[in-house]
Amino acid sequence: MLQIRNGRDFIGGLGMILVSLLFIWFGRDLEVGNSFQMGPGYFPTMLSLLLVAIGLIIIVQSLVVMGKDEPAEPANWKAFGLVILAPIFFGLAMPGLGLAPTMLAMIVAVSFASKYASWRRSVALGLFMAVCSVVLFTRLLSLPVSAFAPWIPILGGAG
Amino acid sequence: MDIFSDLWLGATTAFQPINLAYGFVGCLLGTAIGVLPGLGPTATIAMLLPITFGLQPESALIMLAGIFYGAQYGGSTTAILINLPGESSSVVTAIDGYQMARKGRAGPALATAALGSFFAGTVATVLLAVAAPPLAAVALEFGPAEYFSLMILGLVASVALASGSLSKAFAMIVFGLLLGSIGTDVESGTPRYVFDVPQLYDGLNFVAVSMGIFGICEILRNLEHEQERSVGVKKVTGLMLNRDDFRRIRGPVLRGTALGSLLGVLPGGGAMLASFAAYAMEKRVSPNRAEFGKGAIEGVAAPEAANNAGAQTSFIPMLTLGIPGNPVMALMVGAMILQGITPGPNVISDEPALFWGMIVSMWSGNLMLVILNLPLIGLWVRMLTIPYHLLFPAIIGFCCIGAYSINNSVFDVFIMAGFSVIGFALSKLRFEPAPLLLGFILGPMLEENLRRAMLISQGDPTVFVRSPLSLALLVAAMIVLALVLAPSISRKRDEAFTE
Amino acid sequence: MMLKRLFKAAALAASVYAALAPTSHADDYPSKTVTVIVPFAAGGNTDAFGRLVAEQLDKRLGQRFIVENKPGAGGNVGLGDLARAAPDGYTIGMGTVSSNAINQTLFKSLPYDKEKGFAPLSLIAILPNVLVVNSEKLPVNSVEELIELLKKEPGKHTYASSGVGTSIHLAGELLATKAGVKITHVPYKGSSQAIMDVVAGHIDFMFDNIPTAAQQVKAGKLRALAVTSLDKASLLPDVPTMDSVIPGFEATSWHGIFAPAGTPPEILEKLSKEVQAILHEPEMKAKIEGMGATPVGNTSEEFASFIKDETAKWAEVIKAANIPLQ
Repeated sequence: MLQIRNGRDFIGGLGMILVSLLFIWFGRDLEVGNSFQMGPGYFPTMLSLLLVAIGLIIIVQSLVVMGKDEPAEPANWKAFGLVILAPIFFGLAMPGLGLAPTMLAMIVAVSFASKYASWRRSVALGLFMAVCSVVLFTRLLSLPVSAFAPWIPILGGAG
Repeated sequence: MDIFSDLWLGATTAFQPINLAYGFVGCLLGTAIGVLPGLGPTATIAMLLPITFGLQPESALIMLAGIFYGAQYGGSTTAILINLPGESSSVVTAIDGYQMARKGRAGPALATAALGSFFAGTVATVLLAVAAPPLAAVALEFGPAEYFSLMILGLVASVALASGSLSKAFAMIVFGLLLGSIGTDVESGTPRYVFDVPQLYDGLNFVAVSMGIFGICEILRNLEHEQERSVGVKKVTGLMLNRDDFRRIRGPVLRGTALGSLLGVLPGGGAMLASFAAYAMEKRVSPNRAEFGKGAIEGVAAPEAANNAGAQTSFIPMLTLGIPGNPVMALMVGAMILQGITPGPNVISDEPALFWGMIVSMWSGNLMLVILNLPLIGLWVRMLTIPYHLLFPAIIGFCCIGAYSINNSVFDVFIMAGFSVIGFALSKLRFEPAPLLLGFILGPMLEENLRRAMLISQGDPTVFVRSPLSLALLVAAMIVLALVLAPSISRKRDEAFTE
Repeated sequence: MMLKRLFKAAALAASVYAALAPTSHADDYPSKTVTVIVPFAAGGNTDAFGRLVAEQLDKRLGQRFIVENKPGAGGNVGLGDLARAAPDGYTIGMGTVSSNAINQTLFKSLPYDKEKGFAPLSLIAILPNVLVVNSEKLPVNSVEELIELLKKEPGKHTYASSGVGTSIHLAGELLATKAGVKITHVPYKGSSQAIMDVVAGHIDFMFDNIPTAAQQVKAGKLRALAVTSLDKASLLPDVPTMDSVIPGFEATSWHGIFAPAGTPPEILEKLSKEVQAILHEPEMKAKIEGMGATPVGNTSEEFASFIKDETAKWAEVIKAANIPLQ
């Protein structure tokens, strides 16, 4: 009887089909045209249909071919959350706080994604990175970012 | 012989102390920048452009060119050490290079990259000196139809980048192609999948996507396993290549150089294809086929040689026709115009000192890079001994600034974060990211050239087989596809039967 | 302790400064770094003009004028940032024919208030386009001959552009409407690949910015039929103007400098005067002419009415050519 022999691939195939459906849905207003007069929607639509087909093949394979037995991996949600949120925090805080405080805060926070982190080392690393990045990027490479931005009283807006 | 007097003229220009100095500064800066994730040569040259206003044109261009190949070089370093390709061309290097580093062979991997690049750079420079005009003529033969067929060949070959399931590799290529269609449609000007976000009108940025899907995602994977295994790399064994390594990289470097030199001439993506194509080819012809994807030294040597050879020959359209083949070349043209030199087909005869000086400086630049980088290998490898819990926050920090610097906007930082999630999900499901990135890079070019060819031929699809060049490429693509499919189909059948 | 005292002193100084500052805007403007937003990538023409002017402003006004490239969406990303910046004269920006006269019609929505717009300071330079043909593919020597050929074989000939809605594309559309011919538009991403395909003969002709195209003409790879400015171009002095064949045909790529709407008039006045003075310096003129462009340096009012005319002209072309709005 049909049974899922490779769960990972089964989900993967479903995922690919989902992706292509998303592209079809959000591209539904794009004019498709025909093979001789292709519109902006032609290429994405054809690709999406192709991806649906490939997704189906992956699903069929997952029902036929046995997957390798790999032990389930325990999810490390804390690390996952911190590492994903770190760049988002960086992006949100940078225009307001400036490079130095943003970098310090982000490094300290993200270093706790590791179980070996300690407060003292994290703060030291954060300070080191803040100084390094300010010297490297705003002074040497003159990227248009300021070390301290308007939200920081006094220092902000100065440089 | 004319060529010797020309080269002599070039040497007198390039070996002036001041130009040597600027060349060195360029190489040094380029390497440093290439090592910083996200900061590529385009961003660096753009940042340093104003500094060159005050220099002699020769010095300015020699320095900018130094940054260009220095950055190519630095990009491979991070690809090998921390699985973070900073350049589209080092995506392939990351596949086997990073695996070598994990096995404690980061030293030989870096040395292979350095020596392979130097060899390829030397050959390509000679080629540039003796055969630039005929090679430029080849570039002109490539119209939209030929480009389309070349892209098809590239995509088919890229299946070889994956070592796992074939259908999943195809899925990743198509997913990449779809991601590439985000942004303004070139032909009609219609925005696609942009959700009224102005930053998306030019599509997703490659560097942001690649940092998310490779760099940040690798950190997530490492942290996940922090409990069970010592994260990072095994003990480093030897920094230099041994005799066996030399024997193994000889062929791949030669083949990579040949392929890279040819593809590099094609503007708009030729050089990018070169490293992918070289890897795919090695995977077919190498006797150590089984090792690919698990740290085969050939998988580093071939793409690195191809990449560097392509980087050199990509100067050909600009120097002989005055037409920049990629964004870095466009910046160089901008720099020349500001210097009062408008590059054109006459630049060889009008500015012989500049032309030949640049060619000779390419070789001296490559020499400097190898001298600069071989001793640095020890330092880089030592970087891997930094405890991972101190290393990864720094990598994230540099990635964030790198993403910011692409367009001076935080938008790309968010894109990077988003793609690290996608990359993590894909890796959990055992999808490999390299074919996705190739599809993402080639997708827009594939579509543009397909539709452009159809526009020019007024809707006549025979245009792709009428041109002999295009036909040959399509036939080659078909053969590659058959080669790729055949063994896997028989294997699949075997697996099904053995159950 | 020491640090604390220092901070207090600094805070005091800052508050005193803040209290004094607004009383006399223009006299002590600029008192800190000014950002010049270039809404295109570094290395292009707009970037070059922006940097040349910023460098001189820097020298004349004694404050740093830092160029910041904010490319994206045909200039809309950078101009959106400019519109959102505080209108205090410390953020100004570059704009071009496409970002400030074409996008207004071409885009359904812009990331800033279309009505409010920007305060124009001065027009920096005008870069003519030149009509070039591949002489092997199209045996024509003049615009008249080209139009005749295009009329004889409608829809058969192609012209390249650097993208939908660029001044290069619209120049082609202007030709199609004014001469009443049917030609196929083949857009590229940027003009370098486009001109390459014209040189190679994959495409028949195109309008291109003058500096690069002129080199191809000089080398005999392309034939120049006409320039799109009302006056002949210094880089190609023998080439007639489009205007002499089709009266009123003008399609140039112009580059100017703007401030956010609502910037105090004294500051606008001061900046505009400085930019005008800079563009009348012989050295600066020579530099811009060397790039194939015509330096301008007009007043805010002249620039504003110029933009108004241009916007109206291109709106008409976009409508006539039926270009889909983005």
